[in-house]
Amino acid sequence: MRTFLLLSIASLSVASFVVWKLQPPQTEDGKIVLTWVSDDNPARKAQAALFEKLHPNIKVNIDPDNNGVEKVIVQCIAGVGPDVYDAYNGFQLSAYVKSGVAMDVTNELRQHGIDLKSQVFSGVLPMCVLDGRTYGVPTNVGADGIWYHADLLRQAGVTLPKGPWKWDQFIPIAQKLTKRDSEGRITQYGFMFEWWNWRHFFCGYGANVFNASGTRCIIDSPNAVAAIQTMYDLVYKYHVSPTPVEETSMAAEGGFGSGYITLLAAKRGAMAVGGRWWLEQLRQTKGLQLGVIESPYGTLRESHTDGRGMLVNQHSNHLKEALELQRFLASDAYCDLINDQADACAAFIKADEKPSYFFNPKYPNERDNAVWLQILKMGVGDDISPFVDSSTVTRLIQVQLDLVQNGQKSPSAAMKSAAENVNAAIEKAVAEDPSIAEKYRLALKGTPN
Amino acid sequence: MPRTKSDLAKNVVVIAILTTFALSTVAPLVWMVFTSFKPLQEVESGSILPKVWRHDNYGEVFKQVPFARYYMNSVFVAAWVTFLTCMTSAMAAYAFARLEWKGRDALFRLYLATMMIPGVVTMIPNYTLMVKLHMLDSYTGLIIPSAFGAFGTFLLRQFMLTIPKALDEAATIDGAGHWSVFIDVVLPLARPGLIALAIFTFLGNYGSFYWPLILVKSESLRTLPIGIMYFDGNYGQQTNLLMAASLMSLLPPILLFLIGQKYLVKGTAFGAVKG
Amino acid sequence: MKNRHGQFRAAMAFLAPNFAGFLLFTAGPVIFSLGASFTNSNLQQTVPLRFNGVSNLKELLADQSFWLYFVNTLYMMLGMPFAIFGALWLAVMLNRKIRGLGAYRTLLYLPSFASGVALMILWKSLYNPDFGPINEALRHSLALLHLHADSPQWLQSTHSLAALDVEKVGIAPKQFGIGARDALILMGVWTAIGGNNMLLYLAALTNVPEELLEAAQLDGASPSRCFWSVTWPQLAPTTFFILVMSIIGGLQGGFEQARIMTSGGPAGTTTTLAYYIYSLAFEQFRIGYASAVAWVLFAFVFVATLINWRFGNRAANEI
Repeated sequence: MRTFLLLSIASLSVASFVVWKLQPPQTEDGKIVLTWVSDDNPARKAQAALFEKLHPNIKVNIDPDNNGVEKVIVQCIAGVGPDVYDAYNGFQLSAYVKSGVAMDVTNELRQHGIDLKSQVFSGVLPMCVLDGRTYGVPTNVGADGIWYHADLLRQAGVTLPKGPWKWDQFIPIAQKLTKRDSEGRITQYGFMFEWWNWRHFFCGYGANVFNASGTRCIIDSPNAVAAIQTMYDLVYKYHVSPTPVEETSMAAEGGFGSGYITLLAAKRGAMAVGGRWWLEQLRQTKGLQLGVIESPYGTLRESHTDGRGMLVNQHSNHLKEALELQRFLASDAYCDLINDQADACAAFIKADEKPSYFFNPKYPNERDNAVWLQILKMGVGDDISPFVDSSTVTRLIQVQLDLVQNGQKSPSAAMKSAAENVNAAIEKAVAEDPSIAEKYRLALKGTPN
Repeated sequence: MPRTKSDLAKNVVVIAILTTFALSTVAPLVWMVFTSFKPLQEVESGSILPKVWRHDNYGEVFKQVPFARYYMNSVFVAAWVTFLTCMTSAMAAYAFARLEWKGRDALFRLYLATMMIPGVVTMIPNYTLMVKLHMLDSYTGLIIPSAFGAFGTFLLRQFMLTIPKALDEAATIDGAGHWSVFIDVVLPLARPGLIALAIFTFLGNYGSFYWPLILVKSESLRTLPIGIMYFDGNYGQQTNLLMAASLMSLLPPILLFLIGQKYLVKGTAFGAVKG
Repeated sequence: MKNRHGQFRAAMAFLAPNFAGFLLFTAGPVIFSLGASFTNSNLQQTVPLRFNGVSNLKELLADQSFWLYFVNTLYMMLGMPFAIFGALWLAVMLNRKIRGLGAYRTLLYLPSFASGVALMILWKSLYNPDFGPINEALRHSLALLHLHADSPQWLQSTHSLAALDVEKVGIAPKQFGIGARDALILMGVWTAIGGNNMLLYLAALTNVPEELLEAAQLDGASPSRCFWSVTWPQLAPTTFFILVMSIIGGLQGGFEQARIMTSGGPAGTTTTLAYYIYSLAFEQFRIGYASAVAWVLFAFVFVATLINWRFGNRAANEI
């Protein structure tokens, strides 16, 4: 027994030494390794490679498996977090800042001549700036327009107006583009949109989720209800968009790319809401001619801007290099790459005003870049409230929208319930957290409401 | 030997039913083996046997993910956990079974009581502890918290109670101290129990999913169950490669089972009937 | 050497490593977890730690999701009787003196020792509604029998044989069918039927006294009468043990299947309490609330075990 025990301990020790030696090094060939938590968009690899070319002593690893606000926060606190990571909206930025894992780079950026307020589209500022302090640099920016199938429009004898148009002009056109078969079933939908993209419609009516101070949810206001009503009418009144049941039976494949492209190619739909990032997939789809027009609006000609901001982990072991990577996003090289890849658009306005943006010799058929620029220029970002967390709000709103989408609840009733629930969540959060209770009281005093 | 014709008939029926069950148990595994040799297009073809045998599917798995690393991690961690569990449990069992001291039985009942508590209750604070100690995403984090459980102590104590004390006394008269009695007399006699515990522990830890899932963040630290799960998620529908990977991960348990079958059977019965 | 003081010191020395680990990783966490369940502890550190009293419990009782997942957990335990009686039946058949039965025993035990994840990945592929062999076989059989029915969608379907509703606790006739929950039950029975329970029954069967059986046969009892009046009561302690362990396991289970095969979906139908606790603790990092749910789960397990003990003991003693 003694010999056996000694042998076991010896072999385990040897094994431990071997395993320890085999650990992937913090530095590869003397390079510093940075971890960037983001999504698994294939374009990310080229973006990282460009940075590595300009900084030969740094290697950038993309980690899509740990993408998720809560995960990143806890890992950063535990000391095993990434060096840089992306925030997809203002709520996420707020969560990261509150947890103390996002580095305040206001002074850093100023020293290097980067001033976000004047240099990027305002719609992407919520993911980068909070309470006047800057934490992130935008990676890209996007806004949705309407992609249309040129052939189908030609066949139906439809011409779209140039420039701004309203929903009442849109509806008859969409109806003309909706085709049915002999049994009355719709074979081609005039228009396709996703219900989780409700902010796209909100912007066209100037609707907001919260009031200016973020103390109350005003999603039951008339313009918000009007936006949802438009979505509902497109499906159930004008029948130009599919119901959920019809959507599932048309189910296209997922993955990174838009299912709508496949549907448009199959002529199941004539128009769809989408962004410039579609180009990534369209460039690989032969024979499909799509054009772009800005979205119709209701009362206010505004579009919804989304994008990402790259934040730096306060506890990173390689702060200097992480900040270099963050600053790289403001460089011409990076912005031009974004525009070339069509990873939506570069966030820095000057990059989108260059001739190389409007015309890319590699893809001479892409003539609509001016339209995208126009859409971006009229873009606004998400409004948030510092008094409640985003997953709660998104969930409460989405539940109600699901009911509307399934025809089980009217838009006004659903928005009323959503507002009640969100306001209850705000009250609960304020009651539980003394640090925001004070802020809330002060905010209440300042608003006319 | 069957005594009557009806006995023979009954036996035939029994064999038929058992064969049906055995076939349906084995069928999915057979499908797994055949699929692991198919090229991707054939997976959806509906034929059982591959028309083209792709042995290189197995090599392909190693190219797409650091599979050898996952294997090494699983075996390494399980080996350490098994060793630590067996050693500390055996020592504690010796204290409970062979030594007389105040509070012994009360403490043992406490051990038993904690075995009733669902694992998830302790996993949450253990995770918090790992976060505070910055032991997240590390080998120590994978090994240490899993190496202490009341079950091993319980099982070995029951075993040691059946070993006659006369042998201890003989050794003590010869001048042996407690440690010698433990290593040279009791442990060898408790070998069947130790082997059963070792097999249980190794299998349990090798297949453990929850703890590595929450603890591990880096790809280089993943164990086989986590690695296979991510392989399924991240690499599209490569069912053939997935089956090859799963099959390879099943080798150690199958080997262990074939070698240690009788110990497992004895251990199960022993733990249960007395309990 | 045998003096008490020496024994005590020796005992401490032997006990130390295991006991230290026990305190640090078992006993300590249990107490910590109990305490945490009365706070709003959150690993993201966005809210200051505060003692909550019973508000976690109140939130739990009012939480629609909690009760939905509890119903899911109970529903998925419905495979238990099949697994247990199946194990008994197999054990009875294997208990004959026929050569080569050992091979059957090995084959039937195969799914039990194999690592769970590999098997679940396998079954996920088997259940693929378009390309999986199960639906392929079903389609062929239905075609042979000239029946026109859709093969079930298995893991993608929110249906269940009990037509459980998806948004709130209740029955919704639209949800009748074969869905993800049933798929998991079937897989569970396949894995468990030839497993440890069968071995336990085999061991117990060899302990049934021959004389009793012979006496019954001499009295002219039919084989099934023999079984139910003689063998079955003798197996009572084993059955009781198996039942208790199965209920304990069933109430706490379903996590791996949910995480690997369905991510708790579709629409939360395969989320059991165990998966809910994981989601709360390790996706939202709400440590306090998750601990409260975990302790309520433990309370369920405890009560179920107590009830079993009462009835089981009485039944066992009545033999």
